[in-house]
Amino acid sequence: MSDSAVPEKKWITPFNVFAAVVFVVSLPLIYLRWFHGIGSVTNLNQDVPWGFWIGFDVMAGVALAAGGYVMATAVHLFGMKEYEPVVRPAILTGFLGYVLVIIGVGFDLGRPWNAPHMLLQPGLASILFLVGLHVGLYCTTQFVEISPALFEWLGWKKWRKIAVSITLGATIFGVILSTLHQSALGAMLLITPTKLHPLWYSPFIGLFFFVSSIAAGLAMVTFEGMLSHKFMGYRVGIDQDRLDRITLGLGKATCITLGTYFAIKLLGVAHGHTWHFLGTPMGLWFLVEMLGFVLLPCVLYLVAYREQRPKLVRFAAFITVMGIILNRLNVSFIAFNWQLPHDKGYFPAWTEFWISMLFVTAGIVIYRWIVSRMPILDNHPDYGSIH
Amino acid sequence: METLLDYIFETKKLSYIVALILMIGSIPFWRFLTEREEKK
Repeated sequence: MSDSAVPEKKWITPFNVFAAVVFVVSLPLIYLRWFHGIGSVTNLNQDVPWGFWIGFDVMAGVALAAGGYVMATAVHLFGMKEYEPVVRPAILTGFLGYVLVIIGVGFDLGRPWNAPHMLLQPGLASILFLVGLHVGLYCTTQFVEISPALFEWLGWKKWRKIAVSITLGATIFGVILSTLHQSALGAMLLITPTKLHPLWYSPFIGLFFFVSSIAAGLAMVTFEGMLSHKFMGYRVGIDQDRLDRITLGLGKATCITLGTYFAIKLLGVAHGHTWHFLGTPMGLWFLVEMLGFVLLPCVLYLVAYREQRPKLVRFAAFITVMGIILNRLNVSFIAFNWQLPHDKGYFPAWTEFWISMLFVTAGIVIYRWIVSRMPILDNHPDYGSIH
Repeated sequence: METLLDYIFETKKLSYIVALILMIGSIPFWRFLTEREEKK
């Protein structure tokens, strides 16, 4: 445990007030969504059936939850034990992220009672089926991976022993599932060559999604480590110096991943023969994404690691997270249906933003509740090393 | 196929050149990243 004292429990804090407002305002919106249909709270229409919820809650949510499989693979499979303190927070974030993604999809699709039909009448030739199956399986896998912390908290030693013994198997299963569904989310767009703008559409879009998810996961772990240390320092089991070393290591990995991502995206443009689109308004928007949210953080990471500046790594992580969200919004609706006349275009209703904000706030509240009780950021005194 | 722009816009051969530049570029990229780390 760090030296920080356990803070006095205060109910009225700026974040709690914010969360309460978000929850209260969301209640009538949830009622409207489920009893008056999706049209009552969104600007979606027959031309634009995918909007902010699919782009942010699902596509960006899955990418940003990738920290779980990235860190579990690094530590359990590649033996990079120095990153062990960030594995549990990363898996917990991933698990909560996936749960919220499933709820988000439920809000978008409606009729959740029809969900079992995915298994009863599986569309084996559909990439969407693969994504659905994998997200369900991976959510279960992540629960298994995080369950030792739950059993340590409950004091169920026998169950904890069983859970720890299957961690390695669960990690291998998890990385297989994640590799497939992170890329499959992108591969789903392979059926939209006429709808997705040519600068974003590519036969390699599955690869783009997979590589960018690694950067997203690493950046989220970096960003989240900073927030945990700042706001829940009394629970964090490592000191600032070790966190800085971990942050720099994550920065180096993200730098290489973003460099690779930028390179394959450039090859995508060259292979797709889409140079002439770069001078158009959509092309400039593509350049904003690629230069401002991929190349810029890559250079910042490069400088930060070279000069050993963890604060700069954290700043670059923030830009990377924003960049991944922007990319997923682009492929979901900004660069999707780009040929539609302007008057048929789509801009999300405030209620769409609000419901998404509800998911993020709920995620933070649940994360805080779990972390303040279970041994996620630190070790349980009855057990030595976390894994 | 008369100008450089024609070459860029009308053939896919450019992707090989881009790939080559990226592969060569990865060497200074890696060196810049790890130079001081190795000195330590």
